[in-house]
Formats: sequence, C-alpha cells, structure tokens
Amino acid sequence: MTVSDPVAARPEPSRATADSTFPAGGSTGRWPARARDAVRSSARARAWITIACWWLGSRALVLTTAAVVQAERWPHGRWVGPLVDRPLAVLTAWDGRWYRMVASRGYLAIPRHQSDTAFFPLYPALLRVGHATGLSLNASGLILANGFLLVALIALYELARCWVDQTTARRAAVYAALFPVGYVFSMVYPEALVLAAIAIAGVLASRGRWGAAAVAAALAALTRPEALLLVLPLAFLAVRQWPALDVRGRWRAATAVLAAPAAIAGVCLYDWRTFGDAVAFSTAQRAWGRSFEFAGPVRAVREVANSFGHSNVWLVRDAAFCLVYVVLLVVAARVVPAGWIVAAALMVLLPIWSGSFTSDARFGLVAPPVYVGLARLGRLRAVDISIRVVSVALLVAATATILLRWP
Amino acid sequence: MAVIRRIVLPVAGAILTAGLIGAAAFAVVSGLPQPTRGDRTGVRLLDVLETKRGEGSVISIAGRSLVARCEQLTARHNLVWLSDGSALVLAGSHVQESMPPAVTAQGPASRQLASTRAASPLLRAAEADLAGSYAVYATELTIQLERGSRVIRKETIHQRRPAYEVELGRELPRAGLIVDRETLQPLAATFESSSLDGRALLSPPVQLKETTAC
Repeated sequence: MTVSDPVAARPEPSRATADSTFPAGGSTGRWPARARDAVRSSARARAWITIACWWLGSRALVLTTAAVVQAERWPHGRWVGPLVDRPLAVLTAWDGRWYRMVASRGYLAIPRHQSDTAFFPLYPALLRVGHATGLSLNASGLILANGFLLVALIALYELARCWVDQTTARRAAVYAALFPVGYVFSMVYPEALVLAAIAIAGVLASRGRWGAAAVAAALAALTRPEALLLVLPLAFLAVRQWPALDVRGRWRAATAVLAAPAAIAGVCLYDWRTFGDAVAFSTAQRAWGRSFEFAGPVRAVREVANSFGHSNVWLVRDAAFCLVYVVLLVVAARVVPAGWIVAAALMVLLPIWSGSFTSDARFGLVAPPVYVGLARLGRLRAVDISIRVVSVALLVAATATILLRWP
Repeated sequence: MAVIRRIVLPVAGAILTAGLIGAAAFAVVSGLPQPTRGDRTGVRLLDVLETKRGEGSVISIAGRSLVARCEQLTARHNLVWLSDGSALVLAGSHVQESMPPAVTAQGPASRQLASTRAASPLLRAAEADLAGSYAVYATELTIQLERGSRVIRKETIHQRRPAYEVELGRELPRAGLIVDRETLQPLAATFESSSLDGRALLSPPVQLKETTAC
C-alpha cells in the first residue's frame, strides 16, 4: 500500500522524538542548548546531516574531477577558445552557454535555428540575481546549482519519507547525490533547482500545505517543462484528500494542481506576445532535431543501433539510462503512488517520441521515484555498497568526459 | 447549493488563482532583458538572407578590382568564380577548395595577385566574404546571433540610402555587411584585417530557386 496522504500517513518518529525532548511550558536558560541537542539527536536531523555529508563529498568529487581534467587539458583537442581559462570550465559547458545568454540578453527567437527560447526562464533569472551581487554568471550558476542540489536532496528525503521508511528514504537521497549522471547537478544547468522544486511541491502537498505546494510547482514549471507533469501526482493526491478538505482547502488543492500549467501558460503568453508563437520554447527544439512524431521510438532505437562505430555512440549511454530508469520505476511502483510513477515514466519516455534518446539520461534525473526505486534495490548491505562504489566510479568518469558529449 | 459550495467555488477560485500564477510567470519572463532592436533586426536580416540569393559582386581588394559570380553546387556547397579566372568552393562560411587565377587572363597584375593568394589564405577568406554569397552571410550572421554578439554596428548612409552596418564577426579578420535600413537588402560587403582590407558592391538579390546565385 502506498502512503502519500497525511491523514493516512504513519506517525513520523523523528518529529515525535524531537518534540518530546523539548521542555514544556516555555524557555529556560538552558533551552537553546537542550533544543539543539534534541534536534541533533533526532532521526531527521541525523538523516539531514548524513545527506549533507554525502552532498559535500559527491560535489567535492565532481568539482575536483572537473579541475583535474582542466589542469590536464583532457580530453586533448577539446580545450579551445574561452574554455581554457575559465575556472571549472567543463561544468559551464554545453547548455550553460544558453542559460548565460538568456540571463545576459533575454530571449531571441531565430527561426529555423537553435534559439535560447528553448530554455526556461527561472534559472537564468536567478543567474542575473547572482550576477547583480558581483559574481560572474558562471560562478553564480555553479553556486546556485550546487546549493540547490543540497535543498533537492533534503526535499527528496522528505518526499521519500511519505512513501518508505526513514532508512530507505535516506538511502534514496544519498544515491541521488552519487548518481552517475548527477554531475549535471553541478553544472550551469537547472536540474538541481527543478528537482528541488518538484520534491518540495510533493512534500508540501503530502502534508496538506497546498498553497505553498502551488508556489513550488509553479517555480518548477518555470524552470523546466517536465514539471508540467506534476499535475498528475498533485491531482491524485488532491482527489484523495478532497472529501476531507474544507472549501478553502479545496481551493488551494485545486490551485496547486493547476499551478504548473498556469506557470507554463505565462511563458506561452510571453512567447506569443514577443515572437508570435505561443510555443516558441517547443518550436526552438526542432533545430536540435526534436519534434514529436508517432514513430519516434522506432527512430530512436534505430538511431542507437546505427550509432556504433560513430561519435554518436554516446547515445548508448542515454538509452541504457532510459532502461535503468524504467526498471527503477517498476521497482518503485510498489511503494510510490501511481501519480508519481506515471509522471516519472512520462518524464523519461516522452522525449523518445522526438525520435532520439539524446539527453534522456539527464531528463530522468528530476524524477524523484527513480531514486526510491534504487534505494529499494539497495536494501541489502552488499548491494548498497556496490551501488555506492559503482556510482562514485561512474560519476567521476562521467564528469571527466563532459567535453566529449553533452549531457 | 452544496455542489456550488463544495465544487464550483473552490474550482472557480483555483482557476482565478491560476490566472494570477500565470501572470506572475509572465512577469518573471518579462523581467529578463529584452532583445535589442539590433538583435531583432539581425533576425529579420537572417530571414532575408535565407529566402533570397546573391548573384555576385564587384570586389575592390589589394588595389585591384574583381567581378565575382556565385552559383549553387549542392545544398551545402557554393562556387564563386572571380574575373581573374580563379574559383572558390565554399561550404558554410569556409573556403573548402580554391583554384588559382588564370595567369594569362589579365597579365602581370594577375600574376602578382596570384602570388599573394598562394601565400595568403587570408586573401581567399576575404574574397569569399566579399563575393556576395547570401549563404556565407547567413552562416556568419547565425553564429553571431547564437553567440549573443552585437549584430548592428551602427546606422550609416550608403550611396544616399539609409543603411545599417552589420557585424559578421567580432575579431579580426572581420567581415561586415551594409544593408538597406528599410528592406534589409544587402548592398555592400566589407572585409577588415590587420594587413588586408576590402570592399564589394553586391548585385541585387534574386529568388531562392535561382541556382546561378548563392
């Protein structure tokens, strides 16, 4: 049975433990110290600290690898132009350039060519905020991405706690920190931000805080279009809670369900008013060879089969991760609510209808149930250790090869 | 009444609030910088360059005057004939192959140019940029726009017509285009480097279906 409803949810041991150690009836001179001790000793606090440590370790690994390959100028022949002198250059490559461009120039639709309109506005808007404090756009992007990853991991833990026990939830967050494709979370990319916003929306909705969930869902949708799929889990949850909600609660729950589409509608309105094309963000994708077609999956599989022996063989990586995601979602489906599983499956599978597996490994990163599926597989200690060791090795290898293929 | 209270009111309220969320999202996007008039002009110019072709030009370079004629070889390749008998095969904005000038065609001056060419890929690049190929200009302009670089250098007057000076590159050697301010029709091309400057008057544009233009 799945639990995502606060009414039906089991009592949260961590909170109970923490609360019971607080002194009743106001503060004393020793209250802050005791409170701190209580918080420290609570299971939740321990989990958060553990997750923060893995975040720190995994990011140190990614940043160090990026610095080492730059010092060695590896892969040779790829270090050209402004890349050479830019700190942690590999983490600013590929789409990082587009986000910087949106932040510095705004959107410019170039018909029949690759355009920055394909990139959603919240992350570049935040880059500008960081830039206003005196940071370069790259430094701002790297700090934001890595910082939001910590928020995302904590939120993922809290979301997973709605579905599984605390140990499994903690493992899910740790695996997310170590996930091989997770080097993207340290790049000038918005994946960490969108994972954080999606997980926070889920947590808040599960706790019945629908107004805040609506804000988080809207922010997620302003960051990446996949967040539109939040409609599904939030709608499932809203329907389940509907009978128990008063009028105000229903209003807020329905608002949370509509928040992601509404935010995307705001982007559409801007695109229509500015470029005369309400889906300019989607139209721009055609220049990257992405447009939905019925036979897309067939073309995608054929493209992978034909990629052997060419530089395009990196597609195999994306196809393999697509398969891994599907398996993990099947494993997660026993504990995660159906709305989340369907949304996550669509995040991973819908892009294939564009006729290519390109970047599918990255698209699956923002689907929280994937990590819960992996955490369930890691219940046995030997499997757990194996997943961590293999993940670390792949994370380093993937970071070192960023310049060979975009994520 | 119960239905209105339990379903219609919350859903109506939610739709209204969603409208506010959409408006807030619109405000966030609008808060980003807006493209300059120059950027937008660049996009319009790209459309002109991709829907028309150029037949050629009259080039002034290295103290010489050459007539260039342009034709399409394949979807990606264009051929430029120069009046000194030399030819260039262009792919995108690159000179893929070149044939030396016919030495007998224009006497000693041509031989002088031939020796310059043999020693100077820069001269070939200059001729390619000045030959009046819309395909070359479109490729270079696209790179500028995708980089987020400034496109319109300044407003100017060209042969009594109001025009824009368009930048097709940031660093030397640098190509440029002079286009009519109203129709954006390319009028002239420029080439600038530390050792070689050139200029060309472009032929009027022709329709895209013409293969004797590029």
